[in-house]
Amino acid sequence: MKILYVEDNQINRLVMERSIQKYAEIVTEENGFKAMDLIKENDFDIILIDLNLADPEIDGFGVLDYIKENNVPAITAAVTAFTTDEWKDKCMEEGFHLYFPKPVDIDNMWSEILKFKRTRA
Amino acid sequence: MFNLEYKGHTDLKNCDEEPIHLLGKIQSHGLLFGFNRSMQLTHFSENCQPFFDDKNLSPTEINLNDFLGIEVSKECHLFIETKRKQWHTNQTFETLDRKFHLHFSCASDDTFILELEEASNFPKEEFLTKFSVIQRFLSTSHLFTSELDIATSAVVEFKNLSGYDRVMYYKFDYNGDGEVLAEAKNQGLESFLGLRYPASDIPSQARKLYEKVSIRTIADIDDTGIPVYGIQNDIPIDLSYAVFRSVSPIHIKYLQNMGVKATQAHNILVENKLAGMVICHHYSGPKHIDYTTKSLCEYYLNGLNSWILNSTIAEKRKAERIEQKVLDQIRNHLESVNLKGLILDMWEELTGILGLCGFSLVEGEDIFHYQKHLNNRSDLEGIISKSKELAENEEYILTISEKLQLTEDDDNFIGGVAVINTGFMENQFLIFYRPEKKRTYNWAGKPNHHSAEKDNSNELDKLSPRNSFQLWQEVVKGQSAPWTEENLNFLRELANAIELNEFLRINESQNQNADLSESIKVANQKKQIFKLQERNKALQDYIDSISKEVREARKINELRQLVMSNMSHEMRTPLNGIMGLAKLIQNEPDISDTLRHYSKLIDESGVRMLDTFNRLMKLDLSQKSEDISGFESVTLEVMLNNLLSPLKEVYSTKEKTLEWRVHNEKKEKISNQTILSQIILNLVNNSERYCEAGGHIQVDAKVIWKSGEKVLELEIEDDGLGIEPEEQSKIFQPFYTGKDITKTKDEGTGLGLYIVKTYVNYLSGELTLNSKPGIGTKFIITIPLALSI
Repeated sequence: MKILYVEDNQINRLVMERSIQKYAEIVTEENGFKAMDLIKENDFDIILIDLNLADPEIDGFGVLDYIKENNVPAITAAVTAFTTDEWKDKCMEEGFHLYFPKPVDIDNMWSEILKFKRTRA
Repeated sequence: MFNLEYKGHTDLKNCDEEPIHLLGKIQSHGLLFGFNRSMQLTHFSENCQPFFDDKNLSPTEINLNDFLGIEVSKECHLFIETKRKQWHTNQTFETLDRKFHLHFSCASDDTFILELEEASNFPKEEFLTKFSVIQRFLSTSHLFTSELDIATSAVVEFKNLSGYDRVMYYKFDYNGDGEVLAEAKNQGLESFLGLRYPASDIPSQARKLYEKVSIRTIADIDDTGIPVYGIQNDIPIDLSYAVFRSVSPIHIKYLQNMGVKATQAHNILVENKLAGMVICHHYSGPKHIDYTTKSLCEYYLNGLNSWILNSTIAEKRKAERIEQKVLDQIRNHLESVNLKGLILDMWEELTGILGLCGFSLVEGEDIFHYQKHLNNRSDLEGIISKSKELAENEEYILTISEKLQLTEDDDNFIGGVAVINTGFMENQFLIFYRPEKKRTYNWAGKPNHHSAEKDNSNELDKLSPRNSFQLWQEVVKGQSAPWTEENLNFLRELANAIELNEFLRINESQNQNADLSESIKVANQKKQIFKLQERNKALQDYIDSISKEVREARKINELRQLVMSNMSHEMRTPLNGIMGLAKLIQNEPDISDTLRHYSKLIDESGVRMLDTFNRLMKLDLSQKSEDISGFESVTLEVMLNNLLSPLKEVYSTKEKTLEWRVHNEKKEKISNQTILSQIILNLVNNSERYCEAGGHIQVDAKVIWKSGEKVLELEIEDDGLGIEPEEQSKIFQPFYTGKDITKTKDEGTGLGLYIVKTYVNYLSGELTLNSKPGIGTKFIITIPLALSI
């Protein structure tokens, strides 16, 4: 399985890489546009996206739009420090498959993803 | 050159259309110059001719700069620049061994009037004596307790001051009829005290003028006046603001019929409306009141007018305060009590304001009557069906104050009715009854008494306003006291309150989560149904005032939420890193037990921090889901029970006790509990935090009267650690946590007391702190009940 994590915070990228590498192959990217290129060039099974990215030109929803427009078949999950119900609802409305509020318990997250993958299949 | 003398007809029928002054003429004791911005003479009164002759000038050659001399022309320019309607100056003008005072007035945008009034040699000592009399009167005016009281003294003083034979103080009724409230007169003259004069005695244009011009003097009724000539054209100059303007023939006739030879009239203005007049009559002959005396009279009347204005406004304010209080009470209780019960509960207050003797509440087919005296209630059916009819025609408030004979029984008589259509959707009317008020009007003037029709050849003689001024009594029966503008406003507010409540109720049941902005939108749509402008305006005002309150509250709320959500985001991002890394360290295979233990502690700290933080956010979010203006109203007791019972449970597990008491007014409704809950919760949490096991927290609530206001007093007392004196001023600062924080296991956010202080301020309340280290802390909060909660 191949995972992309789009996140602008370096430490959080590090934590995700190290925590998830025991489960799957993971690529991280801090910039939304560059992430689009990676999505185009690779076949990711799972794409984890932070909503609030440092580049003011594009945020997590922008990356999601690209995924939807290009019918990328990956499972998408918002990983965000915006934790209110409104944000969760917004994420679901916009079309994220999953939503994980920060701080994230990665083991839990992984089992949620697997559960979703199973039900989808 | 043209003579501008007025050539039109005037009779009683077109009295209202007649110019307020006699065009083209001034009274013969004054002189008049009309001039334009370039100081060229445009008009002059005939009696100015000798001045022109003296200088060997034709009027067409005259430039006022040269003619009046430098000092006076300076004043002319000053008057033009200041754009006033009228102006008197201290400057005088001397010519041909005569000395004149100057009066400026404005005739049009480009035509100005300078009138000359002959100076008098008023003895200085007499001036000082009269001035000190006025001063004494004005400086003791605060001792008068009513308009009648001050008017009675004022007319006597004014008569002495002015020297007229009769001085009267008129008070105007709501419909413009005037009554002589006070009078001072020479012996032998018939008294006019208490007489009423119909509104038509002062035509509307004269009323309007009196609202702008404070004094009008007619020195001699029989004066035929001096013609005013125009230099360029024959368009009459507007003399409305001129001091010596001649008076309309109708008015002269009116005065002649009363045997008056000279008069002076002053206005009494309240909020720019003519509320009364001081009228002087002179019978023994013409009366040329000199410039100095006239100035003293004006000074005196200005003082009197100020007193009347102040006391009228004070009374109005007082009445408004009472009305507002009653409306607030009604608004607060509308939701929990039905309309009928509420009107009955508030009957005494409503009667106090509106002077009522009963009401009917019509709700569709259901009709409820409350009428103290009326036995046969079927008599009301007529009114009710009429009200329905009118309400269907979008009539909003219907008031009747006459011709409503319901019963032959003279003692039980409804004299007036006000119907308000309160139903928002349904057929609901509230009908208030007002008792008959029998009055005797002493009209001045009885038909067919003294006839003025002896000279039929002169049209004006036939058209005297009245033939006699002798007393003509009219007993008015079957009418209530009139519904005043204030009464109608109150009824409108009442209707709006009822309607708004109804509207919110309906809206709430339609959509539990209805946003208020949505409500306003819908209200605006609903408003189109009611096409009556007045109603729209009143409703709009009310909605505006509410939405303004909500907007303000929201602004605070939004700001706070913005801070909270930013803080949340900014904390969670690094916390994600901290806790994630701690987990990673724990899962590293090759680390020492010590490091593994440390990383576990890091993770646990993170969890605790997150927990505290989530609780804080939850507190904030609970705020958000409930609208800040929360219309839900519960009693103080219910609110405290709901709020504190869960805490009591939690505290008992920590061996701490929490108790609360409502000492009185257990039924006091709290309509905006959101903010109040936050205040209490934060204070109780704070107290608990600084209590050790075995500690006790006590909440006492009572409603007290404080400087005439009903206030809620809350005391939150604990027997905890207490606060050091030097810390007491700091604890309300944001993010400040007490230094004893290490003694307690549970960390504080440093925001609780800051929130409390902010909210108490928002509710215009007061917060006092009473704390002794080692003994405990007591917070006392007082919040005005009428205001926000």
